[in-house]
Amino acid sequence: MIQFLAIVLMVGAIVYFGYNVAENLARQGIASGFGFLTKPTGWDIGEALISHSSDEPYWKTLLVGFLNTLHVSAVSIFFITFLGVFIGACRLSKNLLVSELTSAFVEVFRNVPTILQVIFWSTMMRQLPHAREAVVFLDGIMFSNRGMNFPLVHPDPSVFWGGMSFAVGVVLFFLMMWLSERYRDKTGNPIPTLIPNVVVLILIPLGVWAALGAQFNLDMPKQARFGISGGGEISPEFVGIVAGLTLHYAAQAGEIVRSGIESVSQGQVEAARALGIRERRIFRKIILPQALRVIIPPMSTEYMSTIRNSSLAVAIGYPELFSLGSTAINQTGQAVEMVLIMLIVYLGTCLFVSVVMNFLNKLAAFR
Amino acid sequence: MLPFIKKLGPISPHVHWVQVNFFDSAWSSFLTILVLYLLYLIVPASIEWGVLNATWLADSGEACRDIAGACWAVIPAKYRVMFFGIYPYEEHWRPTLAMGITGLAWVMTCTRTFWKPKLLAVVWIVAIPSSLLLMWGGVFGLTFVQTSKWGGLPLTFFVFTSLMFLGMPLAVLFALGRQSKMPVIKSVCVFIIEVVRTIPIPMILFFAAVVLPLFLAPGVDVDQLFRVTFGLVLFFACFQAEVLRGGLQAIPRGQYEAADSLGLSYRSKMFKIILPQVFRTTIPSMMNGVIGGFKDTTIVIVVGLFDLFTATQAALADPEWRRYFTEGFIFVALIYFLFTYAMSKYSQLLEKRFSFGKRD
Repeated sequence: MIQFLAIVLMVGAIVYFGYNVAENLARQGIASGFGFLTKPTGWDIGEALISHSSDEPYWKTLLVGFLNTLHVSAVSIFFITFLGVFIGACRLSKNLLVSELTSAFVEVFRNVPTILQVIFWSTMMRQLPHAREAVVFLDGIMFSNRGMNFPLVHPDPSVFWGGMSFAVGVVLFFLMMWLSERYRDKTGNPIPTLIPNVVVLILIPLGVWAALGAQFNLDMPKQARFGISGGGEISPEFVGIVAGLTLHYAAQAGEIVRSGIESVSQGQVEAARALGIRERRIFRKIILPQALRVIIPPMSTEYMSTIRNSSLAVAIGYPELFSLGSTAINQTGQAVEMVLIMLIVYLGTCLFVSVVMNFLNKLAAFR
Repeated sequence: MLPFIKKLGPISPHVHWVQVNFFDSAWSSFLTILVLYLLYLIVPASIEWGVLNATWLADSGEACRDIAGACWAVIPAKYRVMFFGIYPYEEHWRPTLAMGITGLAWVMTCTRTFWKPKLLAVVWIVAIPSSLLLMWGGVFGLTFVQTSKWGGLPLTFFVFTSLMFLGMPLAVLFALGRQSKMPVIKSVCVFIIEVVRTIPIPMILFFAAVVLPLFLAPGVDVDQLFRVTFGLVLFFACFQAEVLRGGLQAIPRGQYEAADSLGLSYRSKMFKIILPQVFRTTIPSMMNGVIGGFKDTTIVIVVGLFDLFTATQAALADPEWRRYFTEGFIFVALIYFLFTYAMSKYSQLLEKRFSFGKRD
């Protein structure tokens, strides 16, 4: 009976809303459908990862927005993870000064609304002096009202291939560590991995770099007559949104890491000590595997919130998906279609993160 | 402990405490010195900026120009706009009184002495209409103030109170619906919860403010403030519903079975046996959600409602005071911090208060 009523109510609501939408759109003279996506926008975007101009179609504008969302989210998630682990470790420090100060830091940054932090950092950046009087750190990192400028390594072939072989070396390093762990778990005898690690991580990349000319030129930002030339540049908005999201969510992540490590019962650690296992090995083999199981699920929620809240950038005018999408709605009036598109994109991105994190969680789960 | 300290022989407990907590190992000693050095760099400079060299009162932004420290004068100069937004200036006593009433009602709700359902019901039945009446006006000689002029802290209060009074019941409804054995109800609840939880809040608010009118019949006009509040309520409810679901799943099967074997109806089983236990076990995550809801009220900036933070930003856009936005931001951040910090302390108190009868 209740179910029947619910169905009737729902169908009624859908018909009512659908009818209203059709009516309202007809009155405003807006044709529904996705045809508008191929029309030119007529407005330009301040910041884009792919080339963009004002006569590109809407779908490309949205793509630019999506890439910017991914850019902000990926950079923030990277920093959140590292800073979160660092904060968690500091909170657990036996040194009272370190743990109490970190706790104060966490309380402040998790209790102040994210958007306030985002707007604060971006306003801060914009209020910095002009490029001519930029604040300079370490001779190469400049902060001015144009954003942050930093040195880039000149992409010489020797640097590029040296870097590539280092990346391969890192993969090989983890592979070797994993294999040696497995061998050790099976037989109890460790395989010495120091020499091959030095070879793949240091000697081979250095050799490749030297063989290709051993070039290393930094492209330093310089204060020019108008603004800053050379090096890499990050806009004040990007700094604002990344700093705001990172500090807020890293504080949360720090608490997750802390509670994860604290969730491992002290008896386990004591038992391991009684067996004479060394402290570092206790952490790697006993605390970490159990803590990860507690840490990963809330961490994935955290990552998804970061992606969703990257849309707060709309408040500081950073052109990410939601900000461009809402401009598109104002321009075209295609509200229903745009909302659907954005919904599906956010849903898909979050789903992707959730799949990856579930996979990691499976790796960490009991075997 | 460092070996050379050990040689010094027996020591007083205070020195021992310092040793264990700050100089337990070489690494710990290094950290202590490093942190002390960093504090030495930061703290005196901040005190100099914020207290010693600061200006507390000034007639205009110009007066702050030549000083090296903070210009707190921006707060006395602009506090009316920060706290009340664009609410008519002469009528500011009304939102102040309304906030006082709502604040008092909240304090009573949170104090154990007043935990009598009938009393609290009366309190809120008086508090909500009277504060709304004060805000709106239009009767008893009070001038009418439309909702688009509401702003500042009263708006934050309004949205937050709505979250609690509309969002929590909705969350319970969603959570029970999700656990329901009726497939239609269950799938509808799962659909709403899962979809709403993946939408960014700015997008929900934008939808409520800009797109929702398209869904209403021409001529039907729901106030923007209510639409936006509804958007936040929906988001809040879906998150809390998931927290409640976790709690519902944590209740031992035996509790349900015992209630069933006593022949209790669904309603009394849920409201008398299951839900009280769920609320008790989920206090920490529930309060986390409440704090999150309070913080999320700031996102109304996206649709141009003047809550405390938006109003502050608007006040700081004044060219005369624009240079002192840091001081203004620190001030609002402090207000938000005080509220959220109080809530998290209260949550710990509740947790302790309701920890009776728990195993382990």
